[in-house]
Amino acid sequence: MLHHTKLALLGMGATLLLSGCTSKIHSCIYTDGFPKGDKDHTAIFVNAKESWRSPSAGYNVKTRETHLLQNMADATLHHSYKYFAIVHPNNKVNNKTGSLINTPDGFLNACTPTGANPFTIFNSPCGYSSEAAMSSAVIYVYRERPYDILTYDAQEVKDYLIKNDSWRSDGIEEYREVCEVKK
Amino acid sequence: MRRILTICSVAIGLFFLSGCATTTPEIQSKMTRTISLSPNLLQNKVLFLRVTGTEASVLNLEEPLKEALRQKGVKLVENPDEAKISLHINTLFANNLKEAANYKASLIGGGVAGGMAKGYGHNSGDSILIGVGVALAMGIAEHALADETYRAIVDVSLRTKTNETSWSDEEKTRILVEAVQMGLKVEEAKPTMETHVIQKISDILK
Repeated sequence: MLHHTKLALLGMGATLLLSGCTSKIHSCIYTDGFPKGDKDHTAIFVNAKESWRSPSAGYNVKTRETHLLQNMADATLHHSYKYFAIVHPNNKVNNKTGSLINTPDGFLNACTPTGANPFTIFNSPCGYSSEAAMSSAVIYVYRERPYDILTYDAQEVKDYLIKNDSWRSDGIEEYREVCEVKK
Repeated sequence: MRRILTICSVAIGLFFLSGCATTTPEIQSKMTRTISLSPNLLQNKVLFLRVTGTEASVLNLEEPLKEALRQKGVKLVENPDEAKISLHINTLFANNLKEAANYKASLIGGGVAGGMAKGYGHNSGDSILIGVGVALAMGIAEHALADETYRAIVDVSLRTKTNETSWSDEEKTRILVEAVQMGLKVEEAKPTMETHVIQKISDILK
C-alpha cells in the first residue's frame, strides 16, 4: 500500500514538474519565409504589438517596433542564449542578407519614425507594414558570436531599453515555437 | 500666379522626396566578432599572408594590405614554415548591390542554381549574396531606388603556430563594409571599401 502511495506521489510530482513549466520545443514548422529544412540554426519566432492604437501611425510603428526589439532580446535570454540575428522578414535590418545594423540604437534609428507627424502615415522605414497592429520576426540565436553573421547582444539590448524607459511590462505573452538544433 | 503655383508645387514635391536619397556618403564597417592574438605573438609578428577573392569582388587588397601590415611592424614571409601567424583573407563579395543581383543571375544561368539554393540558410557567403539578390529583387534593399549601395563581405581566418610543426584551430571573423550615396560610382566606392577592410585587418595585428 505504502509502495503504491509513493509511486502515485512520484507520478504526480513528475506531472507537476513537466506541465507547462518548460518552453515548447518543436521541429521547424515555419512557412512564412522561414527557410525550410534549415537544421543548422536554432531559430525563434517573435512577435510584437503596438502599445495602444494611437491616431498617429508613426507613433504606432515606433511602439510596435520597439516592442519587437524588446521581445527579440527577451526571447533570446529566456532560452538561455546570448546573441541573436534577424533573419526574417527580408528588410533593411535582416542580418542574413547582410544588414550592418546590430545595435539597439541602430535598430531603432532604422525602424522607427523620428517623430509623430502627418507624413509618417505610410512611413514604416524598416519595411514592416505601417498599418498592422502587430509585427513579427524570426531570429537565429547563439551562445557565442558566430563569425558569419552580425549579431545583437541580447543583454545589451535589454539594458539599453530599460535605461531609455522603453522596456514595456507587457512583453512576451506567449513564447512561440523554437526551432532548435539538436546536437 | 501660375509661376508661384509651380514653385510651390516643386517645393512641396521636394519636401516629400527629401530623405529618399543620401547626398553625403554614409560609410560603415563592422566585424562579426573580435579575434585577437596573444601578447607574445604580437612581439614577434612573422606572418604568412594569403589573399583570395571571388569574381564578385572589385577590391585589390593584397599589395596595400601588405604595406599596411609592414607599417604595423609585421614581417611577411613567403614560406609558411617560417611564419608564426597565418592569415587568410577571402573576399566573398565587394561591389554595388545591383551587381550582386547580376552575379546571382549569371550563376543561376550557368547552371549552379541548385548549389546556390543549397547555400541558402547555411553558413556561407552565398547565403548573404542570395539574400542581397532577393532583397534587391523585392525592391526593399535600403534606398534601392535613390542611392547606390556598395557592400564588401570579407572573411578573415587566422591561425597561430603552437609548435614547430602544428597550427592552432582557425579563428574566424567576417568584415562587412557598406558605402551608400546617391550616384556613387565604383571607382569612388572601391578605395573607400579597401581602406576600411585593410584598417580592420591590420588592427588585428596592432
